[in-house]
Amino acid sequence: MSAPSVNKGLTFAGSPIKLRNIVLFFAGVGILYLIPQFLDGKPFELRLLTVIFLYAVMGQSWNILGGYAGQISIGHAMFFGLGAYTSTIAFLNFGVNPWIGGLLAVAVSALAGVLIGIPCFRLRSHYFVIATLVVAESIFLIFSEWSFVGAAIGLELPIRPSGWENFQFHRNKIPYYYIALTMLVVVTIFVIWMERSKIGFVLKGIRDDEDAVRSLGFSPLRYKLIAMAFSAGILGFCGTFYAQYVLLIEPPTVLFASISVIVALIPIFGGIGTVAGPIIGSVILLTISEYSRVHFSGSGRNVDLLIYGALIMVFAAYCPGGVMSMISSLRARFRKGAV
Amino acid sequence: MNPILRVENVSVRFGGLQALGDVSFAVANNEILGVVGPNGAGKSTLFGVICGDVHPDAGSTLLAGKSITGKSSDEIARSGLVRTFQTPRPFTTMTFLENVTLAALTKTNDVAIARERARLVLDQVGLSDCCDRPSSGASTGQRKRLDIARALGTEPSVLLLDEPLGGVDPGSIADMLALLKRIRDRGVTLVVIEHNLEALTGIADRLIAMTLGKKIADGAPKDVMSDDRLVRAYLGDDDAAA
Ligand SMILES: Nc1ncnc2c1ncn2[C@@H]1O[C@H](COP(=O)(O)OP(=O)(O)OP(=O)(O)O)[C@@H](O)[C@H]1O
Ligand SMILES: [Mg+2]
Repeated sequence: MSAPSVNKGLTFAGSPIKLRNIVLFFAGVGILYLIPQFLDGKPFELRLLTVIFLYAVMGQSWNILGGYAGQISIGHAMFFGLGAYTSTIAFLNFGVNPWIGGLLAVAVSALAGVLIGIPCFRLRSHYFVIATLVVAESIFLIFSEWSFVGAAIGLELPIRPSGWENFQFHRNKIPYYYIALTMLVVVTIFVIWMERSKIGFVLKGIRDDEDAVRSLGFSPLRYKLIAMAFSAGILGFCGTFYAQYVLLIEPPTVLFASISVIVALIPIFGGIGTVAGPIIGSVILLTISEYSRVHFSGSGRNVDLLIYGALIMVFAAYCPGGVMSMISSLRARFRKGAV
Repeated sequence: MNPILRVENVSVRFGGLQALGDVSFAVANNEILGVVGPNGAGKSTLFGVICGDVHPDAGSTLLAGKSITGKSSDEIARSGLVRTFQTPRPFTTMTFLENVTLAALTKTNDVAIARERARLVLDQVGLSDCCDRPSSGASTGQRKRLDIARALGTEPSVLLLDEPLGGVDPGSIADMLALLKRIRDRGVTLVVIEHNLEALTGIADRLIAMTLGKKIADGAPKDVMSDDRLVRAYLGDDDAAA
């Protein structure tokens, strides 16, 4: 019989957490906040890091639903696009400040996620995957035709003076870096909390065996909808960020299927259902994509997809758990060797 | 008798197969009721109906006097009636402790409290050594115990166990029976499906026997065991259902 364990150490969301990890986390974040000081006159690197943070956030949000709850969506571009359109339309038609617009985007995307989830979550496994694809494609087609949202031409945000109050920065793009990094820090802490909380336990249970979770007294639908609301809501804010960063949104850049694919690939490649996975995935995949865009100029877009395809095949064959599982198996081997 | 669980005239058809035909019985508070019968008798289907996993074509089920017919299985579990599955279904990406912690989270939002409760429950079922092991590596006997621990983690008032001794090695059967008795002594009502009639007779207060979807006997274990309808059912005599 084991003695009842007493938790004397630090805890977070009811589970122990190592002081070392907290220190490493905030030291890493601190360094990232200092980096822009050294990126003066390096717009490519600044942009690269900004989009890495943005896509890491998008990967985290997909991972909440796909990695923890096991509900694989390949339609998540719709929540990104809905967010981008929400804040943009709110600004263009009602003069709503883009920061408030970002909150509206969270609400609209989360609500859309719940409304789409209610019918789609009745479907299991591959039928759910197909449903998300079909709904996202329908939204893409509707927005491409709908004149109120600019149809195929999209919407342009008018240039306002640079400044935090306008969520627009022209000559000096460093504030976008800070915003994207802050989003990543906040969302990552949120995911760490969620993973350890009751919601995280139930979501992982649903991923393993939905009927068993139900037999214990949880409503799987309710928890899947919660995961969907978090997942879609975060992507909604990412959409607003993108709109403010690029100042032009059109269906092919904010609603297209390739966004759904990359947002899913990032955590799958980095380590599905892990906190670090989407960050690692984003660093690797976005670096490949940004460099190939430069080196292969016009055709760069397609080259990165070819490289992704090759990487995915290699990983599917040799390391299906992604980079994170590769790291932990290497660690285990190292430890065994050390003993 | 003041029954905590009542099954009234339940019938289930799967296409052309009558899996349950007009089955009625009651379970007294804090009793251990055994359910016996040959393969395909409809025992697991009966559990499915009670738990809300299988929708009956006719009949009703009542828990503590209130109808639970047609309610969803999670709702029924929340009202205190929980089942285990014939084939254990651990959450394979979790440790033993996490499996039971999840169950205990039905009663609290605080993970630390749920985890402490889970430790106690794992200790009760004799799995305290396995807390931090992944449940994917569990033996059949451990899986059966883990399933029971998980159900206990929800603090049920009625527990339906589908073949808790199935696949348990003979040396551990006495332990398992003692565990079931301890669970009952804590105030839980047990309904137990079991093919090991000898073991079941040792702990059950009462037995019901089924064959081909019909209840054929209901009473004290020794009476039911000696009922020749049950004997014939196990021997596969078709007259048994008549
Ligand atoms: N979902 C289903 N669809 C169709 N037929 C089913 C279904 N579930 C069970 N059956 C059939 O209903 C009958 C009763 O099955 P059930 O599993 O309830 O029997 P059992 O008494 O639990 O048997 P065992 O001792 O083998 O577990 C069987 O003939 C079975 O094949
Ligand atoms: Mg059965």
